[in-house]
Order: sequence, then structure tokens, then C-alpha cells
Amino acid sequence: MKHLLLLLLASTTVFADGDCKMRSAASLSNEHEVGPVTNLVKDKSEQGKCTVTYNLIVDGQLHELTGSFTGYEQQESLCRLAIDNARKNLLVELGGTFITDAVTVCNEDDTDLVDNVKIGDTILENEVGPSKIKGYFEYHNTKCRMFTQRLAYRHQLRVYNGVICLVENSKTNWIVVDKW
Amino acid sequence: MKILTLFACLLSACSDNTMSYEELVKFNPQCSKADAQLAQLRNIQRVKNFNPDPDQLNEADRAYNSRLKATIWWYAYRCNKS
Repeated sequence: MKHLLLLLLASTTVFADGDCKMRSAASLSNEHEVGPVTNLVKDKSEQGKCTVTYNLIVDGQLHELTGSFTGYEQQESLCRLAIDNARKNLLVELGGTFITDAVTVCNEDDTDLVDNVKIGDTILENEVGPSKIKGYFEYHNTKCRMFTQRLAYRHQLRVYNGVICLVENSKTNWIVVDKW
Repeated sequence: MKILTLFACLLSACSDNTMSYEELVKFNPQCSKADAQLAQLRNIQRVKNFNPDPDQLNEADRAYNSRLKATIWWYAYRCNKS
């Protein structure tokens, strides 16, 4: 009887299926070959604003980009957002095709697959939970909302709040603009 | 913006003399005073210069940073200030 129970337990383990999460995001096509950011210069002299200039090689051609971002975030976050803005604007100007990528990630255990998002991450809206502050609002002519995440960090439950805003020219991609 | 920041500094005697946590909790944000208040709060952010990753902050700094950011974002969703 014991052996039978053990056998059944083993079978259950083998056939158990972990949670799978499919993440999909639409983005400007990878038809363009984009190099890393080089010769980055940041201007953080004005509070609440960061202006960046840098070089970017796209499809073998050098582009000198300038971007800026004004907001409530700390200066380094503003600079990262400014870099992203300039790069996205260039790619939109160069044109391309919007494609949707999807990836399925499966986990063996029952851990809820919730990512601890960081400022600057591009996510789907449902990857972060609703906030008690409901509704959308306009920020820099962009649709945004507050979010709340409850996650374990070093064996303690932490509550994170933040703001996500819809990425320009996208209906599905949101960027984590701030988090605290 | 720089003039507002300077004005806010003069009012609050800033640089190292930022608001205490208790003062921040009692801070009364008002849309009618958004520009001046935001300048003051952003100056506190600049002085404090917290790590943008809240998990890298100690408990006291996390609490302060959270309160500060929540207050600053209040203007965005209440006053449509960006």
C-alpha cells in the first residue's frame, strides 16, 4: 500500500504543471539594427528636467540625438526617460513595422509570477495591480495611472506604489515612470 | 522654475534644512499653490537624492521617499500639473 501511494505521489509530481505566463508586447519592428548609446552627455542643471545628447548607430548610420524629459522623478530617472524618448522618436521617424512579440514563461512551482518592476521598464498594463487611487490622468499629454504591487522582499511583505504611462504610439505598452 | 525653486528655498531655508517626515505628513498640497509647492518638494528631492530603487533604502528613507513622491504625484492626478 505504501509503495502504491508513493508511486501515485511520484506520478502526480511528474504530471504537475506549473503556472505559465504569456507576456506579449507590441513594439517597433526589429528591422532596424540599433547599437548602444555612446558619447552620452547629461544636462541636469535644471531641476526637474534632464536633457541628453548622445550618439546612436541605427542600421550602420550614426545619429546624433537630443532628448529631454521633465517631471517629478529624480534626475537619473529623468535622464533615462529622456534617452528612451529620443531613441523612440528616431525609430518612429525612420519608420518600420509594428509587430507583436509574445513569450511564454513557465515556472515549475506555484509561485505567482509577478515581476518587481523597475523605473524605466516597459510592461503590459495588467502586470501591475490597481491603486486605491482610481482612474487615469494626463501627464505630459500621456495617459497614466497609479499602481500598487504587494511583493515579498527578504521575507517581508512590501507595498510598492508607482505610476505607469502609456508608451507613445502603442496601445499595449506602458512604461514605469516612477515607483516608491 | 529656477526662480520658483530659489523662492521656495528662501521660504523654507533649504539646502540641508529640508522638511522632517512629520512636517511632510502635515504638508497640505493645494492646486492653487502647485507651482511653488512643487518647487519646494522637488528641491527636497534634489537635496535628499534618494536611490530611485526603494529596495535600496533603509526604512526611514523609504518612508520619507514614499511620502515625498506620493505628495508630488498628487499634483499630477489632482491638479493636472506636469
